[in-house]
Amino acid sequence: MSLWKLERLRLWRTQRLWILLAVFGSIGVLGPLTVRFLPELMESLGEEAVGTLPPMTAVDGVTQYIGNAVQIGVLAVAFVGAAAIAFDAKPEIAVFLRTRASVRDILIPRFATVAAAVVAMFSVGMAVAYVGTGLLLEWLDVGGVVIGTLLFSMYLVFVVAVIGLVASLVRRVPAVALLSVGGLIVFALVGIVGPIAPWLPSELIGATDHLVRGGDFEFWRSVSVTVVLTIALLAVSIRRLEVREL
Amino acid sequence: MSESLVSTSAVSKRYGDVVALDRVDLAVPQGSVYGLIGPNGAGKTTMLGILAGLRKATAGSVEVETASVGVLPDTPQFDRWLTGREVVDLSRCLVDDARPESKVDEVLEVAGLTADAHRQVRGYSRGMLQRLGLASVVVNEPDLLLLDEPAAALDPGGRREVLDLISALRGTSTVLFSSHILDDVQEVCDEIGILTRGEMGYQGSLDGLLSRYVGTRYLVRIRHGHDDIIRVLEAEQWVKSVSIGTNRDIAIEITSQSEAERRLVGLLARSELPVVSVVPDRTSLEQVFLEVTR
Repeated sequence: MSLWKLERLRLWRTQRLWILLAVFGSIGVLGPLTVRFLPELMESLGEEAVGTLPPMTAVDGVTQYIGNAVQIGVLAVAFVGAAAIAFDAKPEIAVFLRTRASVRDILIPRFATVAAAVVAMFSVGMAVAYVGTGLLLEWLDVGGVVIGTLLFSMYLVFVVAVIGLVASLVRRVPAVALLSVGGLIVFALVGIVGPIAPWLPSELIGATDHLVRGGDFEFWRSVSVTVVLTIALLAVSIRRLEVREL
Repeated sequence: MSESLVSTSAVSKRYGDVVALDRVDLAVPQGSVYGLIGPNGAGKTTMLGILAGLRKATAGSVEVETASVGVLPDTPQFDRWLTGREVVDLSRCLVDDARPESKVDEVLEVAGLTADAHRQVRGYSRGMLQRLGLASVVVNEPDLLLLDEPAAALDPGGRREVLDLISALRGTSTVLFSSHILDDVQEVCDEIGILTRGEMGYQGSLDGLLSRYVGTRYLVRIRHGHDDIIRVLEAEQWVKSVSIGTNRDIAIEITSQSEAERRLVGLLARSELPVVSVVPDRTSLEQVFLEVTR
């Protein structure tokens, strides 16, 4: 029984893998469905409401999925991630682990396993949204969707690293989850007010929409910063956890 | 005394203005079962945390002469979805995965958990968790075991099992365990340290501590003639006070052990009263503990 196997078992036996699948899978189904049937839904509310809607395109099917993934999906990731990564939440379990393995050896499998599960389930949801969009609306350029999925996956890995950092600052799982979400919102708001937006990880959220609409790849800056920040956050988390007393 | 496996020199620990440990010198002889006793809040858990490397001393130095240390918290917990066997196997793999896997089943057997080894921990009782915790420490055969209140809050059966497990470790490992259950300490420990309000009140052998207090009082039981003998006893210079207890035993506080040993029995014989028994008052660890921590 290694710490890697422990994390695989945690995902499986705590049903957290299925929670992620349910969240990303359902918003993957709902994205294209919403776009396809939104005019009919609005029409049932009255003629005036339909008049205010911009015309829906197939790209909106995938964009809608990303939009929901950023909100509902990231919230689910925050709780699932915090439950695995905040291993000091129960001091007795922390004593068991910390007196037998280094913080680095404990944290890295947790980070990597959660990140892999989140990326995998997000990708499943994206595949569902892509197929749904194709069946209900129009088939999109698969290249843009794949690259967009990779870029958003990088953002999700960054989200997991943020959870790691917050877990090194506070102990309780709900606090770790909510403060992580709060931190991500602040990060996103910073991008709105200044010219630094192209450098921020949150820039990757809109990459799929941009690429599927035929835009050029212009995300090197945010990709570089996201990679560097993810590694830095992990390193800081390990350092902080190493010196934290139980 | 054997060489110390664990020693601290003037170790202090402060949490803000609160002094949890105040210049504590601890010496745990190699191969001993050492009981760290003290009332709640005396600093026992803090001391164990420092020795385990989970907390840092504010001042002083700590020397642990081995890297092979097993730690058991007072209420062991594990991921509830793991089985008992997986917990012990995880412990084995984290410390030394070259150790044969059969060792896992051996310690589960010793801990009396073989029948429940493949059940998830969520269904374990408090006593079973305690025994599982001990098994997960013992599987790695550490040189030093740090056990925090290992038998606290267990029913008599569970307590018996845990004490037997600790006794079985004597000679193979050095055990340092904290407790406020004095009967447990008296039963399994060779050496003790009494912590009170963060300070070490006494440290040494259990026998040495008890012998300090033995002999300061004798209990005499007679059929009748209590007033007569009290009068005789009170006239002796080596007698500090005489009183009659609730069970009509005569309690004689003495000032000189040697005088009492030479004269008491003869004095009783000369009185020609019907003497049932003459015994030095048996000093319990509890009495001594209360004396030291007063």
